[in-house]
Amino acid sequence: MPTPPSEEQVLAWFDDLSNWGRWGSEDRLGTLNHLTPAKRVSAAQLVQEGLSVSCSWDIRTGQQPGATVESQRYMLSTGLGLSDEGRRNWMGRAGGAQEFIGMVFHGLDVTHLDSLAHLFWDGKMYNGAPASLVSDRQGALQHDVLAVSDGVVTRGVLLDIARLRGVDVLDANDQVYPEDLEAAEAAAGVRLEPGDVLLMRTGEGGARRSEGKKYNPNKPRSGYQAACLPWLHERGISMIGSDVAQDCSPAGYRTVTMPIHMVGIVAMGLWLIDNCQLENLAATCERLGRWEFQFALAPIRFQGVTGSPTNPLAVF
Amino acid sequence: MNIDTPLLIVGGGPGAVAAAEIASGYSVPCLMVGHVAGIGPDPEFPVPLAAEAVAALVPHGVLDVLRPYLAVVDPPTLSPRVFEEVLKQHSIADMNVTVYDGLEVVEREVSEAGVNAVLTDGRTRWSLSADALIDTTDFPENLSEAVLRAAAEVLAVLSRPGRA
Repeated sequence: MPTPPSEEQVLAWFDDLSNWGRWGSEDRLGTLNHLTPAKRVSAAQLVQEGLSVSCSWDIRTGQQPGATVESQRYMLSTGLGLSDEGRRNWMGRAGGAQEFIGMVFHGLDVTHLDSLAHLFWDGKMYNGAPASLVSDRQGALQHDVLAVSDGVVTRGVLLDIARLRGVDVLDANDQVYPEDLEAAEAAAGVRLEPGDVLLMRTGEGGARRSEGKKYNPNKPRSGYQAACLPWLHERGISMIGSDVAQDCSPAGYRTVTMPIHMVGIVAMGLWLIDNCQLENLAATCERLGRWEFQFALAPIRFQGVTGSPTNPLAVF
Repeated sequence: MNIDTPLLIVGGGPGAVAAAEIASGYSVPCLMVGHVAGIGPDPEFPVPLAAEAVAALVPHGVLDVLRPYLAVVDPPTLSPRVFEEVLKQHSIADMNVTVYDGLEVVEREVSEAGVNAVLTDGRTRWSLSADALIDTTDFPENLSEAVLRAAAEVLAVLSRPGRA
């Protein structure tokens, strides 16, 4: 196993890998600046079978596997009681149903996009914006999820590290290093390029699926080791996702417990999709024998919100 | 893999999650291990938070986390189980808090210098060192008293000489 970078090295990456100012002082896109119109056109050529695969988990309005709090669902009107005496009159043929939904999507359950307002380091967001621009009253006044209101359409690549290792799920101490990403690239016959979305599979989604409500995500788990940060920076990756919340845990650092999140979002402006469901995608890639596809993601256009539940799609 | 954390929190109950979130409010990273909710005598029964407990939670934004789940807004009233499950979910998404369930801290050695222990899931063992330990095993069962005890313990950790 490669030697992990020291904590001092990881802390130095806040400066060394910083994209602050690289695309201007008003930039809100961060690493999505790597995504060009030509890249979108090129990615569209990958649609050959006409097959679309979701990379999201269902959002239950009961309790999520591993969640301690249920999403709140209040039915405002339902189909119950329509046959009751007096409920229908001579005009009463139409009916309908509506609900109120409330949830916390950040965490280890819901498939969601982190906007660049999600995290702060030393009181700053990406590109030096003060953390105080996220307030109780107004939410995120800068770097909310509206930065990607036109969606993300580009080439997606699945690097299946569990498949590379020949295991169902990576052991918690089996962290993913750049060498693993490159080995998976070689196995898949692809190379990550600027503007690509990287989806990395640890196999944790298979455990979540098989264990159902007994699944416990609050445990040591595999994920990207911090050493991947310079690799992601050099390759110009626009967005990453995985079937965990990106960072391995324990990451091995005292002050930066989630370095992929912290350095990635705050310094690099890297967009993260946490808790993807990659089991169906991995099976499709295996069946078709290709690990690249058109990737499409459209977050909900929440004003002032630090991310969005999302349903990323891989189109073959 | 070794785990090095400024603050280790063990034990169940609302005091554990309160301590984690209050510590996070002071930007102190912590590891909460083996938290189990609903261990008090009447965890489902909503109770009002005492003014002193509210005062301990407000500066750290903890009361805001609970707000959507309050049975009564003023005084803030909720059951101990709701208190700890909502705060635990928040802790899971909190960059300063690492939550491990289903694991156990064994071979614990506590000294003035800190804590050395082993964390295990029964198959794998991780060496664990922490500057300080909060063990909620003997925390009060009353929700407000548990919150106040958690706040006091966090303040004691913060006041230790040479803390991180």
